[in-house]
Amino acid sequence: MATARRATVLALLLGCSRTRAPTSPPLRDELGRPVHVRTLPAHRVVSLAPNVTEILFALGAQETLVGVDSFSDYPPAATQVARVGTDLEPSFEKIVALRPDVVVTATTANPQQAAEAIERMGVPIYVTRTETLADLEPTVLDLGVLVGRAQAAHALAARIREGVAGVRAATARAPRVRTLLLVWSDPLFVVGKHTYTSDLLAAAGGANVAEDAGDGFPKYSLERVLRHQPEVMIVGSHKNDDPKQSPFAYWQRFPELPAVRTGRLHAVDGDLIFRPGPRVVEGARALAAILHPELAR
Amino acid sequence: MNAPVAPRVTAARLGGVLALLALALAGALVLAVTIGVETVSWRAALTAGTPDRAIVVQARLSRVLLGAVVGAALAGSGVTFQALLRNPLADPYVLGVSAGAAVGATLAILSGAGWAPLLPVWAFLGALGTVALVYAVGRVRGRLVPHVALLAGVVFNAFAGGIIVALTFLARPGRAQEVLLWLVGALGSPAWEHLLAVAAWTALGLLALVVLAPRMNALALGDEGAHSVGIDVEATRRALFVAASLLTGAAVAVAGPIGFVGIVVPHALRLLLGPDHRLLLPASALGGALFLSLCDTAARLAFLPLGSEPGVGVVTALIGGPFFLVLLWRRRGERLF
Repeated sequence: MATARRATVLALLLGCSRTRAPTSPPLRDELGRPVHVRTLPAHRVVSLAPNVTEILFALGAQETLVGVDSFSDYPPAATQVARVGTDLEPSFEKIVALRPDVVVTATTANPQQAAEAIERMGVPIYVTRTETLADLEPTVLDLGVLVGRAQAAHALAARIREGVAGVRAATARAPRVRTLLLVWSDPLFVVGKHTYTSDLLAAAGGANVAEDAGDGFPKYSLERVLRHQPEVMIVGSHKNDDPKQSPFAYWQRFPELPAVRTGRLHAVDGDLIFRPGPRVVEGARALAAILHPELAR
Repeated sequence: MNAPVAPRVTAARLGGVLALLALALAGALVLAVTIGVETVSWRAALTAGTPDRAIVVQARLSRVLLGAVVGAALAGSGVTFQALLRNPLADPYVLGVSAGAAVGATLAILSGAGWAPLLPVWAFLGALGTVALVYAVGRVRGRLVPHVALLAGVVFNAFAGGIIVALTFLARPGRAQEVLLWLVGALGSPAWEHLLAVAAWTALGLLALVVLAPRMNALALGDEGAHSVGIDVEATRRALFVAASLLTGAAVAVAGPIGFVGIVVPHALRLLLGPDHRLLLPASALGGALFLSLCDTAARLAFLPLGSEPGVGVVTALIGGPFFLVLLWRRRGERLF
């Protein structure tokens, strides 16, 4: 609320910049909205999502990054770039002060109001939408065009495509393992269908038992977990996690669950499976190693 | 207080009313256990180790029992705060005592000291601190002025909300999320040892209040009146504040601040049964358990198509908010403050 109000005040103060004439032909972002990037390719980019930051680094476009959100921590060099606040509440003042040609957001990380508030201050916003694994390739190519690295983008897209295909081929003959992907245990949030994480699980030879939860990363019912009897439960770990607290402590009271009974409770580096970026291949491999240890050579 | 004409509290009446409420509560609990997201085979539920049994016992029964315990604790502390401040609008939520308990519990969770069975102790300390503050501000020249205390509580409520939000900003991301979700006022399915801990704290608090119930009646006479019938007013108040804080702390520690149970239940029962705390107090405890069980069932039923269980605080607020306004409306002729 407070930030939205502040944004409005700023927008009024900076009203003149809103009328600035576009200096390049309109480009369309992944929501199909026209974006008047100040120069194309963009030389000064602010990334408000960790996956966008990772993709831009992988394209060799780190020189264009003048600002990143505070969760952008990979590759390590990303932490040297100026911070502009969190994905949810970026600092509008810092963004404007960086004079970016374009600010890149992600529908999976940033609220649309934040993007629109920045846009009202006359800063062009390019929204990426990478909700499923199939969306990742277009996002990489679009970002390649945005920063003038189309060739590197084609190479990166191919590398991701082939990497995931390799994991898919390796697990193709293995039986599907009924898996629950946890975002949070109590209250319970899970990985639903039509998500890149669920797609990675499928490539790794798993079946998401929480497909009935709906799209995205919804709240889920404990009763359904007990009904679906997952064979494996996987949680995305984070470096901010309390090392003293097991992510599975909550589940130990349910020995009725096959995953608990057989000890198939695993943590995967959350950044590999919850960031639709270049490292999803590693994420798919990590999931496959958990689901199908028999395939590991 | 314009005491409605109510029949005297006899052993038979006490027993009859409590038995009736206990029966209704038992019915509500059975109903609550039969309703849920998943369809359950009752034959399978009787066999150990089946998913059906886990759904009924681990997921539902623990949540349902928790709701009953929390409801009893909140209604019991509501009655007590109303007696203490001689004001029917007093309740742990409105007075900021729930928020104070939440601050205590939030500090414990964020600092990593939040071992679940001891969380009620932290919440109790937060509640007690709030009560001490409200009481200190509400005492004008050695006498408790109820409306000043009530206003102090209302202000502290907003202040405590700010403290909690500020605390979550300082916390590591995962922990902050945990706190924010807990603050919605939700009943999860607790582990049995947590449930037992909260039930024990609640039983202790309610027992103390039942013993103190005759003195609560004396407080209704006003300070001088209570004094004239041989009650140590200060000592009684302190004991009641501690017991009510204990109950609020226990409830908030497991379920977050759930509003309005402490107002709706005691007030409805006061209209039905009269103001005698020897009956009103145990009846409110049972009634609170009944009310929160029904609210929780309603919440789960309403959201059944979504396949997940919402926070019960939503339903108590939807019922309690209008109830509170009607209460104010009906009393608009009287001098409230």
